[in-house]
Amino acid sequence: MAVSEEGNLLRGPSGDNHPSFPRASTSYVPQQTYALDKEKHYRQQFGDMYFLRLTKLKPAVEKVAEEAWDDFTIGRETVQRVERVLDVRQGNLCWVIGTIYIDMPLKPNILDDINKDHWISAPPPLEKYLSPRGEDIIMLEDESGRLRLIGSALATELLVTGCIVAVMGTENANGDFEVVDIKVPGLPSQPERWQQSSHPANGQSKDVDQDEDMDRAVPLSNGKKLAIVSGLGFSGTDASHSLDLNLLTEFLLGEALDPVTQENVSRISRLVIAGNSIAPEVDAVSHDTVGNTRKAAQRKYGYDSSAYNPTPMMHFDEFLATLLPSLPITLLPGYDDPANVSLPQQPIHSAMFPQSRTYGMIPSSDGAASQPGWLDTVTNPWEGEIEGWKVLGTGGQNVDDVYKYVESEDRLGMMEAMCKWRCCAPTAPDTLWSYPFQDNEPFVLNSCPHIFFVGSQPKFDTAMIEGPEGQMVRLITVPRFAETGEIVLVDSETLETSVVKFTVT
Amino acid sequence: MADYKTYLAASILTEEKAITYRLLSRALKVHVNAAKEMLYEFHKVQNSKRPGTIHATYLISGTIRAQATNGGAAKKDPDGDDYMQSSPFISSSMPQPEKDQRAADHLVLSISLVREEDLAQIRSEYEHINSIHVYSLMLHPLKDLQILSDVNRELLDLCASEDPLDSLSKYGTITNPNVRRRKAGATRPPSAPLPAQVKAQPAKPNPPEQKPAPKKEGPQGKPSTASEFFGKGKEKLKAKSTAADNNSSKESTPNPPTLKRESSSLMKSFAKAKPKLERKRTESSAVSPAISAAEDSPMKDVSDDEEENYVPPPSKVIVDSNRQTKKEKEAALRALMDDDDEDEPAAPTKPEEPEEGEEEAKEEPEPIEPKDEVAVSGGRRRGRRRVMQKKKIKDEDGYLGKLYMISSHVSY
Repeated sequence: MAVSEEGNLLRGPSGDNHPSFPRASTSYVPQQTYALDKEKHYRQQFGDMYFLRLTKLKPAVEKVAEEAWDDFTIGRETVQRVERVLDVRQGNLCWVIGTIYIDMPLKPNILDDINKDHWISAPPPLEKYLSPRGEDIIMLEDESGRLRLIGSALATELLVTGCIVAVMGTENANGDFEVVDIKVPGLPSQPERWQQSSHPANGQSKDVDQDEDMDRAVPLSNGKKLAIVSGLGFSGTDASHSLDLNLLTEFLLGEALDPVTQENVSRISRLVIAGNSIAPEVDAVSHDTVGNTRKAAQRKYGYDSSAYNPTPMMHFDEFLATLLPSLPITLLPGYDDPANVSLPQQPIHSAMFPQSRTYGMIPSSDGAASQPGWLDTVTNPWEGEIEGWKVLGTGGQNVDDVYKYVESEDRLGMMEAMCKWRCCAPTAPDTLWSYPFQDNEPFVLNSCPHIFFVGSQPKFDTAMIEGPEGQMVRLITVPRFAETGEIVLVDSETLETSVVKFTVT
Repeated sequence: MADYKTYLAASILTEEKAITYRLLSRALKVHVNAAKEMLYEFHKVQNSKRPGTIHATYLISGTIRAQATNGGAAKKDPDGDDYMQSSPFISSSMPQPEKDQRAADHLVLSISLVREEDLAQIRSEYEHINSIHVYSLMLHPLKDLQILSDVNRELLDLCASEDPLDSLSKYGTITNPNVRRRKAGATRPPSAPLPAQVKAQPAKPNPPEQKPAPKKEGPQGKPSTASEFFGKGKEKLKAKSTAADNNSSKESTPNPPTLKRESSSLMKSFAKAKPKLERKRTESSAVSPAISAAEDSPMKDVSDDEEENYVPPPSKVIVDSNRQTKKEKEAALRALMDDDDEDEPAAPTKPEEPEEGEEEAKEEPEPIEPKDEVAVSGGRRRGRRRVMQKKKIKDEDGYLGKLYMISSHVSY
């Protein structure tokens, strides 16, 4: 109730000299980990991704498993390492590494597409693939074959299709593998802060290291913040939160509220938009759920411009163009945005932003490395370094898809599991659409991020997880702005989070 | 500093517009914080004269009490409470610390926009208020605050001519010394007509500080029936009667602002279009070939038309809010026509000029000026209405010139 004296602008014109604040800046090094070549081929098989993933992660799991199960004995039997899934012999206590595959009757099946023509009405989309009657079969596979896993140990571990694990147990008379214990790769090693970018304060790296240690011990906030927002939901038909978006703009520009707040806002050095800036078109959604877009396509040839509503994109462009003079923006596409739908989603094309594209990347004329754009349209998932911290972010599809596999509602838990699987999109390419990679599996995490955020989640949540080697990861679920009116601020020194919530009554 | 009172009185009391602090700061070129104070002062003075004349909305920020903050937690709590009540020993103490923990877990800065009427109640929900200021003033209480977002849309148009990088500090926006922007060849095709419009409004009976552009229509601002205003005879009459109110006269730009479309159905547009089509036919039979050729020519630039097509179908809220401003816009349009007349006073007033050739040329297009054309050919063109206006202009030296005004829009 009490209003602080400075914050009260309910007064007559004072004629004071009103200050205007300069915006704080942070170092920013985006990475192209998830960028695809200009020329994309879609004729490859998806199977290669699994083998690449297995090859990449096998050594890591091996190490963990060897440490844990070396000379492990049950009764008088010592655990043996078995190279391939098919080499498992009945009755032998052994451990083996492979990829989890969960066979779920409710999972979308490619053969359903053929059935679809005979459907009168399509079944509604499922929230979970999990079968209520326990018909799901968990299997372990590698390049040699598959093995069905059973046992109570499975219930304690979060498992989805595509994650690489080591299982220890024995094959029973039915040919099923009774699991005693499961090991996952665990958190990858974490790079030091300021690995890609140089520390702005002092150039001598040794000093920096010492400072780092000091910071680790007592992190001091200098007030600089990173703002993350998701699910802005610009819509052509629904104006129910347009004023909230205006308030957000005014807040970020430092126009709303009192000078004290404005000064705090001036320390927000970057805005990250984590997907779903455009609201799904109502018609389009009904098409998608029915899954019968084909009929419409048959009637019309070529591009049907009348079906396209440019208003949301226009408003979004205006929103960006208003903020950009004051605030650099990193823009990740999301499921509903005008980008390719399969992961990794490529940056939204700058032609979509007639007003704000002038802030885009300035092509360097003399062949020097060009600076990242002031408006940086990036991939989803995206990786980069902000103020020295390694940041990994996605538009939310990866978590949403893992969510369908497991009983748990704990989305932070799923994010933690992803870090431990060392894979930020394990269910791709099974149920999460993905580009068919051939030579590289970019979803495997080679190093541990400091900040891992996921957009378009139902509510804000955050946690700090710690790894055995001292890795510290700040996990953040960013709520949909259109529904919650919330944005997340992350302190760029302490990685503490706070929320700004806008309400219009 | 007293100028703001004139401006606010004109905008709020006379034009019955909603004014936000941002709009005021842009219009008067003052710092936003100063604008907030001006709004407060104006509100206080006006309501002390006559209470309840002006309605304000306030922006509050601060921390909300624990019960009010966690929408999600609040849902769970009733269950918990019920459960607890059956075991009364812990009921009083248990839920409390949980909530506190949640609130402490993540700091939440709440920012609420509230009506004057709800202010007391919302204030009581706050535990601590960091800041409060007047957000907007309006003559009538707002049912749906979302309407205010239209005011912000107006703001965009107002600032369209300014370079945002230069004007930031003037309004108190946080400036960024590191901003990078492409310089040369930075074109902004879709918004191109807007700056031109702003420049085209110099002559007004307004006080000098009063920025004319708040009058200006956003892309959505035009009445859908704009074509009717091109009916010239009645228009001139009306224009004269409303000329006093209407202080922002607009000059015709070769590309008139895009017209607003009501969210009308395809059928509706057909219903409207049919009779006009017929009328057009009868008219065009009488039209000289030169004119019909001129009519045809703009049909070619499909790409331009496409862009015009993309005028946003306005949301319902916007339509509602614009109802009021519609009148002004009609007036503006009429004024626009009026201006054209003044450009060549010779034409309508002195029909009895001796040179016959000129005379005929002048007379001929006049009756067909209000012209609606509906191109029905081809599915995609369906429903597009093309309003074309043609004018013969004779300048002081006696040279003849033609002035075409074409505007097209689609209704679907």
